Amino acid sequence: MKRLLLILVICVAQTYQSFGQGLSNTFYDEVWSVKVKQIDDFVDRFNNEINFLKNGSLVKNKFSPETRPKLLSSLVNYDKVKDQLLVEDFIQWIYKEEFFLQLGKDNIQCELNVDAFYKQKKFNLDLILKIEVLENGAMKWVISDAKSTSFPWKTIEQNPSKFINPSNHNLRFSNLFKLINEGNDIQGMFANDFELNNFSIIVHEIIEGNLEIKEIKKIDYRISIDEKFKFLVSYFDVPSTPSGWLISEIY
Amino acid sequence: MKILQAVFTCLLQMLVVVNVFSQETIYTTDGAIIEAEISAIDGKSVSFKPIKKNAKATVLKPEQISIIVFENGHYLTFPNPKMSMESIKEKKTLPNDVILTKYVDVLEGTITNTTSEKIDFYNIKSNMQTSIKLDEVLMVINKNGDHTLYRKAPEIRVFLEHMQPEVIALIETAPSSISAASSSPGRPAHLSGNPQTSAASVSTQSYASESRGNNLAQSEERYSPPAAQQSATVMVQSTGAASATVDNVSQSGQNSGVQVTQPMQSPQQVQSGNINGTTANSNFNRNASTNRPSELTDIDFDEFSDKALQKIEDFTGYLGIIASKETYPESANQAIELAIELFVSEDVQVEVSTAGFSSSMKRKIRDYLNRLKLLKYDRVDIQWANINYVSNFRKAPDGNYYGTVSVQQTFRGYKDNQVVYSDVTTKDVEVVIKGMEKSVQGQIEMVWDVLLSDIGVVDTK
Repeated sequence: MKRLLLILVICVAQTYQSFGQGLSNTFYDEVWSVKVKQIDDFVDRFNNEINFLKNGSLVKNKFSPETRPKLLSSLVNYDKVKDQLLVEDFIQWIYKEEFFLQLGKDNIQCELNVDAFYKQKKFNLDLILKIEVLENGAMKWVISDAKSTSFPWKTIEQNPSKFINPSNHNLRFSNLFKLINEGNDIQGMFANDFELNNFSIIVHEIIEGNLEIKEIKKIDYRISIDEKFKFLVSYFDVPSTPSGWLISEIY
Repeated sequence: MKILQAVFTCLLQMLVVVNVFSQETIYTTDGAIIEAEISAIDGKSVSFKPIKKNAKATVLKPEQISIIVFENGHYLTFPNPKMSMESIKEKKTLPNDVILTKYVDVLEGTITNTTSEKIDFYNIKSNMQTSIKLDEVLMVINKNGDHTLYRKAPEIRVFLEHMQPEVIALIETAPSSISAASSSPGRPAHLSGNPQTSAASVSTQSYASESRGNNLAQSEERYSPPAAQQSATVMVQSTGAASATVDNVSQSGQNSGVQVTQPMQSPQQVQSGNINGTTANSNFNRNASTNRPSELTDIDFDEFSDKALQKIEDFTGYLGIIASKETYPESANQAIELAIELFVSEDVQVEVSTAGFSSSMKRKIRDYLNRLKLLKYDRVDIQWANINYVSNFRKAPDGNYYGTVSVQQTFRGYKDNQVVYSDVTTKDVEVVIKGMEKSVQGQIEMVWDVLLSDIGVVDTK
């Protein structure tokens, strides 16, 4: 982190002369200045840039490639990622392969842990989002999946006693009336490889007005690198350095 | 009939324009205007002698005074002036004419003409001839020290207090000549007088701001002088050799905002012209890696970033005005209206959360500001971190561009000169660069305006 501080101080010093005017009433906060303030800030630094607003003026700093390992190292929360060898391997691979991040690519997805309520009953829900790029270059975040350990609706398991018998076609599928119209004994009607699509149910329940979210509790970004590495970027709001969006897991 | 109208207009003008000759001008809270020679100002009293024949030395309490304007055009706001009388009096006159607007902007330039509806002036920052509606003007300070108030002093006192550091900074950062003045891209032309504008901005752009004018036309009604007798306190012109001429004080119902003619670029032109655009930069760029993939929307939005931060600062300025006990209710309401005009719509939300607490509250912007109005401090002090961050702007399906500015601020609320509340907050402010089609000389062109959107506020300390 000291290296990053040094880099930042150099950046500020280099640009000081360029921008004499600025916000009139300012203060300097070291923790805030060094903090990785947005995921965009993380991407900048991952790509060997430090960009910031200084006294209201945009300052961009692209660094020479040799600086990159140091900058990458400053993005790792070493309290969370204990394996130093893995970190070193990770950084060296990115450096040598000249790998860069780009928001909008499929290899970045966002995981939101939210407090969701289904018919006023709370349940835990993870929404998976990714950026979708349209033909005209416009972008939008889209929900690509939803996960929960406790969906508040019934799951479907195969039931060997519930089925449409193999000769029922000769009776014009008379079993269907019993299975569908009498109770919820629908297990066995579906193919073995059928999986209940909870995401579709969620979409349906949102449309029906039965599902709402109260709070986003946690946001993580899961990023994959050419099937070589995956890493998790999480937010650390601590009054010390390093803070902000940092790598919390590499695997 | 026309003759009668002309006579009436002339009479009205005589009633409302008060010519003030030299010395200090004291504007009291009850609307009186006193030309005086001030002998002392301390925390408890202001001693002066009116410049009238046989006038006796008088003392007023600071609470009885709104503003004192000095011969050099500088002023003190009361009851808690930010500077001493001595330091204000020794200031040089401003290097150019200065217009203080209700948008809390300090426009610097040369006034070329003043009519009953507008002031024509050459904007030194934007390097353009511009017009500004009179009903957008709070005060004019001429470079010879003369001044004109266009509103009642008590109503604009807080605004002037907020702008005072900028006004004083104009002396310290006076450009050598008008022709050498830097342009102020990234800021709507009618707001382009702010000294915070980035020197790093490189391209020119025009912004639409028509909606502002209409709203202000409505809010302006509250400022209409109810009677000629009161009007005398509304518009006071300190005249001298070079002072501007006010021809007519009748208020116009129309408000078209500032008219600026400037070549406009289509968004395509902007993009193609500024890919990998330059900013004033450090030497680190020389060895910069060329391998980084550019995003599809990674065009040069430096000027928009600058403008976005400026809007946030404007917003913060309004927060200070709204939260101050000394702000008149009407002024606070107007500040709320002006603050809301910085946003893309009234549906934007301000999410307030406290570090360490999991829950957060979301309020619509008007509700948030109205609640802020109830928090009354004697004065507030808002400071910015000098290092902040703005994300790339990315095009969304609606054709607008979205980015986020992260800023840190300190807020201190004072009562009886004691800090009774302070916090350090991080604000994440969504910024929208909104495109609008506009007919310019028969051709449809896109103009872009920067507006604020949802805000996330986290108390950090």
